[in-house]
Amino acid sequence: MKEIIPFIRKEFYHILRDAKTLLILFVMPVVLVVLFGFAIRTEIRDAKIAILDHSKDELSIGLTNKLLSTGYFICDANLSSESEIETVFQRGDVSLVVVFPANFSELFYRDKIAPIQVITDATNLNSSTILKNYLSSIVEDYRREKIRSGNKAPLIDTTIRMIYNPEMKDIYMFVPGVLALVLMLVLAIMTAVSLTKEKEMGTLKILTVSPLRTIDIIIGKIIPYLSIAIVNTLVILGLSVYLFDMPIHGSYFALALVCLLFLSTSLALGVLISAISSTQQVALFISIIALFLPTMLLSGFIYPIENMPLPLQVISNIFPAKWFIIAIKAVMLKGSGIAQIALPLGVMVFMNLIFIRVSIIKYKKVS
Amino acid sequence: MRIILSIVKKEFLQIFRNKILSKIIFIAPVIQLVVLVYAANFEVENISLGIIDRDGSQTTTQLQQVFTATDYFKIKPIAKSYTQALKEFESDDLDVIIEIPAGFERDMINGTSPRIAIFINSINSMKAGVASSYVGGVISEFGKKQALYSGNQEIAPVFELSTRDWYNPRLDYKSFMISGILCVLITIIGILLTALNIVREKEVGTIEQLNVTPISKTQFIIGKLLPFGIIGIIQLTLGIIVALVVFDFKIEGSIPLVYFMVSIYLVGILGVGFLISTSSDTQAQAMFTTIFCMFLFILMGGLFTPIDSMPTWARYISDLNPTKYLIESVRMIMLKGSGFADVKNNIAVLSVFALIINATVIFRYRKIN
Repeated sequence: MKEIIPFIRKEFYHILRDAKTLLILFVMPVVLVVLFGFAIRTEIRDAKIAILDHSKDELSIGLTNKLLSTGYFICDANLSSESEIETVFQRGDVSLVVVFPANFSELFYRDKIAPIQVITDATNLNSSTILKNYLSSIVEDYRREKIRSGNKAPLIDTTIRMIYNPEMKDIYMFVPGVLALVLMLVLAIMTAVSLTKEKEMGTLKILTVSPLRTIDIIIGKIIPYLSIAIVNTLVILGLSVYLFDMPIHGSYFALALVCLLFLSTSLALGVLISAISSTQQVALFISIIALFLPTMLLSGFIYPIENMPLPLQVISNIFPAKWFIIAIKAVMLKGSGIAQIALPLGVMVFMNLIFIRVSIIKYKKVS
Repeated sequence: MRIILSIVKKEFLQIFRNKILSKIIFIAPVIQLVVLVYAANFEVENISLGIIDRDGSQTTTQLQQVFTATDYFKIKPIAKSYTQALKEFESDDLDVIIEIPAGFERDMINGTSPRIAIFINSINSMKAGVASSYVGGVISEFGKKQALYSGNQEIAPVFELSTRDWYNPRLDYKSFMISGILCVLITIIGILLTALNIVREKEVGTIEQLNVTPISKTQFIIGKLLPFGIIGIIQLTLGIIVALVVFDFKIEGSIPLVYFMVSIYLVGILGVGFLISTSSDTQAQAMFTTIFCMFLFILMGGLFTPIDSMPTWARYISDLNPTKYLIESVRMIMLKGSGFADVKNNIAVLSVFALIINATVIFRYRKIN
């Protein structure tokens, strides 16, 4: 124990000496959370649309006004013929064209069916999918408005209650993801780089002949980064609670347990990466390629895992971030206790053990 | 020229000498492209639905059958009570619970509007929104049919929405993602290779040796950027081959135009990497600056979440993001078949970006540290 303290101090010196990196390590999480909180959403406002109205009567104009009054759509162009659609799409601003047929009101009141054609620019599939959903619910609202006067109460009434996220905030989904991404990258990369650097510079040899045991070296390397990561975790959680009113329904104990477990998994992963890399460059490339995009896309951070094809759902299981995100969402938003999140916790413990075991085997071979 | 060539040769030697590194640069992105393209899907299907049926009548059985018949819902074994259903919410087994009250059938026949309670797990707000409109739609459709059947109500008129999705009629997320992920991978590898390059020479000390050679500043910069530009172009080629062979993707526009745009983009983005590298002291530092830039480039690039959804101030920031212009134009060319005239503004923006960055690179770089 006595030997390890100066070693930890040395590691802290290394980190503190490099002010720029330290600055990035602390600023990056803040910027990301703010970005996700304020800028990145799945709700679209002010989308540019074009209207092609062949009838210009009470209903078509009424519906157009209704569409434009919701704040979701802005009318970019009033077209007069089908041939103009291609032109507005090629220009690239308009994401959707609404086409009303001739005699729209008459079709509605007399024939009881009034067709509306919606043409989307599906090159931007994310937007067009979301916009179509808005459009159909606005049209349905308008229909109800129009028929209410002549009709009795609806045959079946419905009440909808949104559970866990009543205001439907995107940030609830993004905070766990940002947390996972930042912690994973900071910890895994910092640990991997710092260990491979010793390898590359040859100082690891010196360490191995010192009275420190392998486990001491690893612990000594881990503690400084662990402290940075804990600060990051607190900052991200603090911002999401105070700035974005994200609730913590579960116990602080469960929250701390989930976070610490994920921190240690990320650290162990960093050690593992260092064990298989010969140079810092290799370690950095492995971390970025193996962690950056896959963690973003396969952990359920942005895209729901249940929408993915089965093989990918299976692959997603090997990413620690997936389990962390499940567990932390459950604790923060649903108020789950340890018992309900036993599976994700167990998986993370298991991953930890595997990563550490493999790294020790790999390192033994080297020294 | 000869001098530049020898620097380029040296860089390639260094990359290919390292077996793991060359694999990561050339093979990993191809695997990622193949795998990750499948991951992105905002379409909401397989909503798992629990039904608490307190009525147990013929009508409610019919309603359940209607839900089963649609493609959107996966009916889970029915929970007996709301509290039990809530437990299943907690364990993420259910997305939606609907509770049909006792006396549903009777009230419907009497016309006293029975009320169905719908509970939606809204942690994923977008999925929740879509789920609520699907469920509401199915129920109101069912109500209409019942009314018609019993003949006790006049038919209400409807608007019939029909959708045509141009340029991607089957709403294939794969073809939507291929171009975007390809752009992101080119960005990541390009910026990473350059950013780690010079700082590594600094750390190892070989930069001193380069500094005492008669290589001029411009030759040095070109020699450093060219190899990574070539690697970027090779990646683009591999990516296009994957798109054509694995995904059977039909490229509508001109492939040379795609190459042209990516080349201009690479000049700029490699310049960014170069700037990061020269202003960093250690590889770790360069790395974190790179990650930070990549986050901004990728998240503000409109690939994963639509730019339309950002508030105005964020849209202005994203207007400064070169990756946004690349993703947008490559997508336009590949999916819409847009030509030079349609993307000329983007070409102009990317060229200005490349010019400014590289002017800064040349201005700032000094041989002596």
